[in-house]
Amino acid sequence: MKKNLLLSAVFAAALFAVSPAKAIDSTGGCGLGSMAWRGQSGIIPQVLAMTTNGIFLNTIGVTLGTSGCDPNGRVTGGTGKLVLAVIENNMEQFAMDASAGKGETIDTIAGLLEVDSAELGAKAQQNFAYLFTDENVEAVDLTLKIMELAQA
Amino acid sequence: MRWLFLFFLTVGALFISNFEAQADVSETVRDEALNQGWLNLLHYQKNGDAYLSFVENDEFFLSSNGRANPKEEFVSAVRIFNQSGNQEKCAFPARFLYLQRKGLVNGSLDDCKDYQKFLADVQPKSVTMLFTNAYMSNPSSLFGHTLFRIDTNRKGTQLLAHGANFGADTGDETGVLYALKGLWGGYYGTFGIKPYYDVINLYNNIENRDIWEYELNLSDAELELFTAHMWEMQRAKIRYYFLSRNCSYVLLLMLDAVRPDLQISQRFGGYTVPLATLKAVNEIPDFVKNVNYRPSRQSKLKYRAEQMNARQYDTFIDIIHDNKIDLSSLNEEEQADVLETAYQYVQYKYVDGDLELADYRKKSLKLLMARSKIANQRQYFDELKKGENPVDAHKAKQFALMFGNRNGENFQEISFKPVYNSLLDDSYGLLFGAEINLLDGKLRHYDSRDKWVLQELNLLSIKSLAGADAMFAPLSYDIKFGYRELFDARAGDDSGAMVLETGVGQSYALTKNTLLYAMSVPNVAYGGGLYDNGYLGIGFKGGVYYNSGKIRLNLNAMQNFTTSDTARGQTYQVEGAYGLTRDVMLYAGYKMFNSDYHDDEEFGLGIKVNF
Repeated sequence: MKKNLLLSAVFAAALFAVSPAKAIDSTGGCGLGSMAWRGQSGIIPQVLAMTTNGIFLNTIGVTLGTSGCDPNGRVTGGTGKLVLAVIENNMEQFAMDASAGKGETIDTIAGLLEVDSAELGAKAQQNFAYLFTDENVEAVDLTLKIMELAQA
Repeated sequence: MRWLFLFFLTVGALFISNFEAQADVSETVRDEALNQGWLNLLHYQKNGDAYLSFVENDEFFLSSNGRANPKEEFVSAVRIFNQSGNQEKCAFPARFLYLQRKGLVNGSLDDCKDYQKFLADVQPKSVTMLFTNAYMSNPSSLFGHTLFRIDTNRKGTQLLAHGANFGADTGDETGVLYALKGLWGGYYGTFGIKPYYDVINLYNNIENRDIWEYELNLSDAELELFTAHMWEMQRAKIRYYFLSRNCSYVLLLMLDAVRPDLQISQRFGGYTVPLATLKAVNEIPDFVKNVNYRPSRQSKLKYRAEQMNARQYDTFIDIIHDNKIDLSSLNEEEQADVLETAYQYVQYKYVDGDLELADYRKKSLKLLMARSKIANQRQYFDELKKGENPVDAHKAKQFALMFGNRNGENFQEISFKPVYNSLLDDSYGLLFGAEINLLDGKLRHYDSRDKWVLQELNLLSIKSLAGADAMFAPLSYDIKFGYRELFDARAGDDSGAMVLETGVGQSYALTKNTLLYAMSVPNVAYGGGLYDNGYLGIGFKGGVYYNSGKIRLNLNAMQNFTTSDTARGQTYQVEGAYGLTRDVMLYAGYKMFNSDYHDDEEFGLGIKVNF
């Protein structure tokens, strides 16, 4: 099935319009990917399916209604909302950075909270089991905990 | 918002008509209105003595003839922006800034609430041009993609910056209609903005495409104008042509708008390939001040696996294939790297659709829990930092000369292709094993016949040899469609035919530079001069592909089973190229077709030049 789609897409479209263009999200959706841990099973496969057949469904950026995301597609709001947006939309990277004690998401959150990034990273790593109690962890809980750790 | 817009537009139009009746437009104003800066900011194109803006929607203009009349639009803008309390300037802050800098309007943008909110969210620091490399699973992404990033002044990182992408708004249309509309300008494109972390997630993590970041050297005044212009361009509708006025072309229009003497868009407009626009931008002296590489998840995984020692690699494979985590043979630093790599692999598999959610979560957490217990902050391996800058890839057009012999007959051949990349080109900076050619043709002269024949004219030829290894199992494919002088085994002579070949199979990465591939190749040909007028066939092809940069080799053999005797038989082919420079290569090829009737054998030597 996937092969057929791929091939028909490649062939049909290439035949008529091999195109350097790629329409991603002209309407300003947000919250792509990285959401598997929020309990929304199937979002990534869904997004992937759309991407794979992107030539047919050029509205990859579906608005998923993430709480930290602005309808205009902008990074907006106060500190807490921004930290939530970063964690929620970069969950898989944040989890890895927290376990390693450093990384781009830690740097970003440290910047938002105006704390030292290395210190925040060390705290996140030491308290990894506290942050990620089980695999059903919620972004909101994580945000509250990381803000608490940052101030500790 | 929309009705507000229309309201102001109506009010504005009333003022304009009133004004124009009594206007005494001075020479200076006339000159200013045809100044390149003003023309570029509204994206006017000159055609003879007439002007027309690329932007088609009326809301983008302040005067009723604005789209076709830069002077009238200029006069209206000056007039309206000078009225106290006007809100039109808030919809067109770049135009306001432009006129303000000319000393033609008073006031400020401070009372523009929405625009100030936009600035507060975006906090512009600089502008970066982004290039994402080819994505072979989507025909509309074969040539890569360009977009902007408005870098942020926020503390922390550029994750909180904003990507600004020009994309076609194609709705739900599909297939041929979609393709035709796209080709002939049936869609409108607009700019969309979203957080940079979403851009990263889409390209790096979902589509596994590398992102290249080119920070542009804009002055503060240019940055201010760019940001203001991006605000207005979010509502501008420009007709979208897939091949010419596409995403990368409109990006050049944006650059021309903030620095009018660049006139970089003028150099494109026929066929616009994103990589060519990127090269043009990089060739502007002192214009790109920083280059940063953001490898895709797949690139990172490959790099990390390559760097592992044997014990690490075995442990890693045990984890990802057998779900067995036994780290006992490794020291702590080695463990940390294996756990991180395995975690990233789990993310990859999940996005690829090969893992159930519950399983994915369990595996992810288990690996990270183990990783978090290793306090060592030093990473055993550096993350992949340097890649092959696509700006340094070979040029897109190619001209070639070849001298050869076919079945005892000497020939000379001239060939040309307008785009883009073939397996025998240097793969530096481009996707390994990918070939994308459109409209390439070959003219041949046989000494004994003393005339030139059109040997081949391909509509398209697209290949993707993507090597499978212990981590990845991508599909390989090979599609070729076009006209060619086809050897008819029954007749023992050439005859013109349309030929379509569509191979699908797998490649195996023997080394980093070497692929073994096998494909089944359904093929069909039609030509009035062929025995039986054509055939349907299924071929089985196997081959080896090698590309070390300087030396490129492709050898393969195919057994074709066809409905007609025309093409039934075996084909053996060897092609090699040696790069004198990245754009000049010596070429040698040999091909043998073996059938029950007549055989066909040829070899040739030549030179190919990219330009």
